[in-house]
Amino acid sequence: MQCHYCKNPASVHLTKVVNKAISEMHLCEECAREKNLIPNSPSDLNVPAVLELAFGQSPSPIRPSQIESTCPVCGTPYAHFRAKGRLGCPHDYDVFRPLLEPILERVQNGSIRHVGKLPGRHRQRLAKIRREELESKLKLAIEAEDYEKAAKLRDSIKELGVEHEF
Amino acid sequence: MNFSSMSSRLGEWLRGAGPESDVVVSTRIRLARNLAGLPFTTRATPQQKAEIEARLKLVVDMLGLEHPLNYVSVANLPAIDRQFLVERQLISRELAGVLEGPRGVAFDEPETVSLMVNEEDHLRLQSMRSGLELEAAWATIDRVDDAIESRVEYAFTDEFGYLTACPTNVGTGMRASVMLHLPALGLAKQIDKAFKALQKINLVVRGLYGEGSRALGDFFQISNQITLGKSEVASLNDIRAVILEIIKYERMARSTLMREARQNILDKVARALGTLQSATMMTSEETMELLSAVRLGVHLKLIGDLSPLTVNELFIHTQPAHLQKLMGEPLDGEARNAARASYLRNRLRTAGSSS
Repeated sequence: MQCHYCKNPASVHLTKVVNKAISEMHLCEECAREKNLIPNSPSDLNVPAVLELAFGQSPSPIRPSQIESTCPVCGTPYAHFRAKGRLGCPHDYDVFRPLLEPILERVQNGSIRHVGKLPGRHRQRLAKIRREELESKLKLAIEAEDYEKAAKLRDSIKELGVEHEF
Repeated sequence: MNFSSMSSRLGEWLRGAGPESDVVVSTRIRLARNLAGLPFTTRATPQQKAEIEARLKLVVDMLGLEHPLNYVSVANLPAIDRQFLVERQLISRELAGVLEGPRGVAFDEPETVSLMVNEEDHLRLQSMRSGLELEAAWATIDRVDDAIESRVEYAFTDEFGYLTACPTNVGTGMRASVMLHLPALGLAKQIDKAFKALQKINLVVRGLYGEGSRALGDFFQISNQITLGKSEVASLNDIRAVILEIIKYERMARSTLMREARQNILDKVARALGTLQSATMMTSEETMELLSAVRLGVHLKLIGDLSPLTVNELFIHTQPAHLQKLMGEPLDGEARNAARASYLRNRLRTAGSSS
């Protein structure tokens, strides 16, 4: 397959989906680099370029007031993130949430909820919440004389005490 | 820190051994972490960066790991020493040259763990291994992460996980990378086919050190792209499954070449070795291409008296900063190419004579 711009073999393939219409474009790495779709150094993605793509396809219109917002904690304007692809401080995830969610969905393959490791202090807190939840369910199951369910719940509570191993 | 004595030995990850080491050079896993209550590095004031560095330095000293970590302040290092650390993959190019202000790296003597401070995130923890060692690398970095986290509070929310400066890292903050050497797939022009499957499952491939369209020396790095909505263990399992497939393709391509084009391969390897043994000027790009062929020759047992470790050593020692350390003087342009050629001639003088 040839590059859209020159005759070199295409190695970068873009698929755009706009209102269910699919259009494809094929580029060689050099042209893709020229269009700023790949970074020059072998580091991470060119975030601003990916963000541009994400914004081109944002399903819900974003209000201008949101785009002009600034984080009250670190003073980083949202425009700064748009230009640099880097957030200012941890609070930005909260402050810019409506703007960030579509971006996260795009760059993270549709998922916007963390699964995986938790810091120790959160592990204990979340384990406690989970344990309380299971214990109240267990109580209900026993009251309803659903012993099969109760046994399962008891197993789940037991598992909470054990660290997850790789 | 004495970098000159470091230059003559290699990090553990370059030992040329470990599982699947005929195809897999090394495994590395990095975690991105930030301290709670402070702006990310690029928006932090010099005072805040100094505070982050001071706090993390203190933690590094208390970790009590089997191999203690030594902290090196990158801001105060001469350019050649920064380049030296980049060549050993202990720090990123960004930490060496793009970022400013208080920043540094802590690493252990065998170079299995490195912690970059004030990179794009406050803390970039990394563990490196030789061969395909995803579990071991994860176990190490997970433990170091726990030890640090018991002493500082990370920026974290239940919903988004570990918060990072760039949304492409948020969640687990984990990037696992496996470096592969795929010369036979390269020769058989099958690289694209082998990598097509990767895009569908959100893994990223890129050439090592390569500029432009071709990966230099057929070295490729495969990493996970997704950090949100997938656990570390699930990501590592996906990567492993894919890597094992690619290893299978590469080994098949190697045995096909040996069966159907044995004379051509012998000739390619012999020419590469011959050029390295006799050239008087050598760029690092050419060195990479030729050593790639030599590495293939070693693993196909076409060169009997050269170990994978020696080949790795030559890869690293011929990089600009290492070469200048070994020669004991600054060299530029042609002088460097002449020194590189002379170093390679000496090291390879007797190689291949017994095969």
